[in-house]
Amino acid sequence: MKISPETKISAIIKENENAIDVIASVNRHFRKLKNPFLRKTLGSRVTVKEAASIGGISPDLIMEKLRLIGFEIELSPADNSLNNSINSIGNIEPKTDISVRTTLDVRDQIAKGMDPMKLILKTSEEIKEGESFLLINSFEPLPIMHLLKESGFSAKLVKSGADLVHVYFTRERNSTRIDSSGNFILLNENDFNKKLEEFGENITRIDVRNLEMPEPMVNILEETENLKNGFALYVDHKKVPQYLLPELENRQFKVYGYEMDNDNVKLLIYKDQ
Amino acid sequence: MQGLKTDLAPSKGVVLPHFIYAAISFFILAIMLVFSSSDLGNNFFKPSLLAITHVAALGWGTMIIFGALYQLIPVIMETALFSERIAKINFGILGTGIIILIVAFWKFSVNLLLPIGASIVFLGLILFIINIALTTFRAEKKSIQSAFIITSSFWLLMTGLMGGLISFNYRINFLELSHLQYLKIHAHLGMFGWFLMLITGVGSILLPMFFVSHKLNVKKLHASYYLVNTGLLGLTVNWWFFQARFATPLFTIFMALGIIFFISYIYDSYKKRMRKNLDIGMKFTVLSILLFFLPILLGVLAAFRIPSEIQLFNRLIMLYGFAFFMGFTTSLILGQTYKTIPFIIWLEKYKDLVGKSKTPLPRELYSEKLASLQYWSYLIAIFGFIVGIISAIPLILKISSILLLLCAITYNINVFKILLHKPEPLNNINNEKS
Repeated sequence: MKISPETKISAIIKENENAIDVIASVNRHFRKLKNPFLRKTLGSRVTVKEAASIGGISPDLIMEKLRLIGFEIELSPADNSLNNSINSIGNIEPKTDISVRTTLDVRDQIAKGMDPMKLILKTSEEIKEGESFLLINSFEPLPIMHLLKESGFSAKLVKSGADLVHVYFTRERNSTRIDSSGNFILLNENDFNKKLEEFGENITRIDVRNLEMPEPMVNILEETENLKNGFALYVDHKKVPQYLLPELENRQFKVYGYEMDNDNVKLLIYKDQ
Repeated sequence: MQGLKTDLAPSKGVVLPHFIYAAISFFILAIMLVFSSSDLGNNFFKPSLLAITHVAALGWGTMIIFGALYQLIPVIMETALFSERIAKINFGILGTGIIILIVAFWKFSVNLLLPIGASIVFLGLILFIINIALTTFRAEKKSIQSAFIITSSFWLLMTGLMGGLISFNYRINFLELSHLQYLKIHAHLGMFGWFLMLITGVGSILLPMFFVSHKLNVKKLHASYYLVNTGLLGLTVNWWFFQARFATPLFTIFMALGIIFFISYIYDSYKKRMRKNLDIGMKFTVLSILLFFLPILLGVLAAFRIPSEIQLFNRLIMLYGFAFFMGFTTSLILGQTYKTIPFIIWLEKYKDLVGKSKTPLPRELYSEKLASLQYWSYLIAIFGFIVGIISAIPLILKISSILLLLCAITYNINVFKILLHKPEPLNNINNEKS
């Protein structure tokens, strides 16, 4: 198979499963590829070039490693940037005509190993149509860019230095807000555990795996009624509860899920303030 | 990472009409059996029996499976049904086609009504398979159960096609073999391609869910899938084109092994169950799996041309078909009705109240006593039929058919009791809300 910087990671993995290990060995950022869930969500969206950009390395490095396990390299003349992005390496203060409502610098959180996703999403929800916010990060935050694009934002990326990226997110007019696209978000194990940690001790845990339908639903809804502010309900379930989710949405609950295996799903249910 | 669409369940306007059509079909089926019970002791190729078989297979079995499947697709495939509109149109077309087809058989109007009815039914089946194929296509979650479902709908289409060919053959006689040979193919496509495939796919999710059992060996289902499909394809091709003697026993063994793998999967689930007490729905279900051994045994015997005495052989063939439809599938449907409709109605009426005030359980929506009466009348009826068909004693058949009618009446009362359920006005709810 011929590969270029524009080739999707998922296509490469489909061709040769060993590519997972090879890419993961390039940089610690890519170890996530070993997680099947992330591989599915990221792999199908991200190209070699974008991946290299996330890892802060040259795409040639990844391609060279892939060449060693039998891929052919095809050079592409395409430009070296993501959609809508401007490369202006060197400028600390990028010049744009976008007026910003909020600025969010998540570099500290990233350095401490924390996941700023929730903070970013929360900020994004406060942005009205036509308004923008600026995200400052140490690398191109592709997952959040894709995520926000799906909920109606446009993203303008400015590379301001080797470890400095400014992204301007603007909510397009007539776009849907993220909370109307559903209250259920599937996460991988790491992200789920991080969400869990955010609630600390404020967790009520129940196990409904050994209950017969509709008792899991009844128990969960009863528990959510008694849930105090700032508390989350942590549920061990057998499957994603298809008939329960709409009811939780009606009652303004949000749900994070993590599918451990075919018989185990973990849910974190909480009320968004 | 994106927020997922949560409301995948179909509207009840899509699901419930199928259940109503099926319940009424079961009642009509029971009445028809009372009037022609003595025919069961004869050769199966009789207008009354052809009509009864099609009420059982289409009006009763297929209709209720369509309804249940629409309800379960979100659970099995984690996506919504492709089009509710197609499902509704499909219901209208199929419902009309079935009635024409049944009248055609009963009056044996093979030159006019039969091809018309068969064509309309076939049109309905095409819409169904389009809807299911597009749903499967869209689903991200691909499991062996999805494979069973999409394969079963393909076999259903083949069954309809075969039936359609036979119906036109009465008029223009273009098929070269005896119509009984095509009838055999048609029947097996329907029984094992459609009913068994679909029941395996849906049952392997539902039954462990209701037994509440975990960690089952899915490889058994894979084995079942390949064995049954290979066997069925082999039988069909052989019966149609080659008529090789050795092939029928060979492929029958394939299918029997495949079915045993499925039963073994269900048995594991039964063994590991958390809920030790079986409610009425699960009693019917266990009975259904036990009754399934009868057609398997008779099918294998028939493949080896046992018994050799022709009259007894014909009676056992009759019992084979009867045990499949009125034993295995009917008891399974009777049981699963008690697990699905109460839940659908309960969900609709009480989901807003759950956790906020006391709500009844789904099983409190029907009469346990009637259900129990239904269970026993069915059980005695079915054993009566087995004895009656083998011995060809009309009185036993008549008594059994009356008991089955009692079962159908109690079933209909309970189904409509559930469908017409009105929540009792609870004062404390209103107080809490205001």
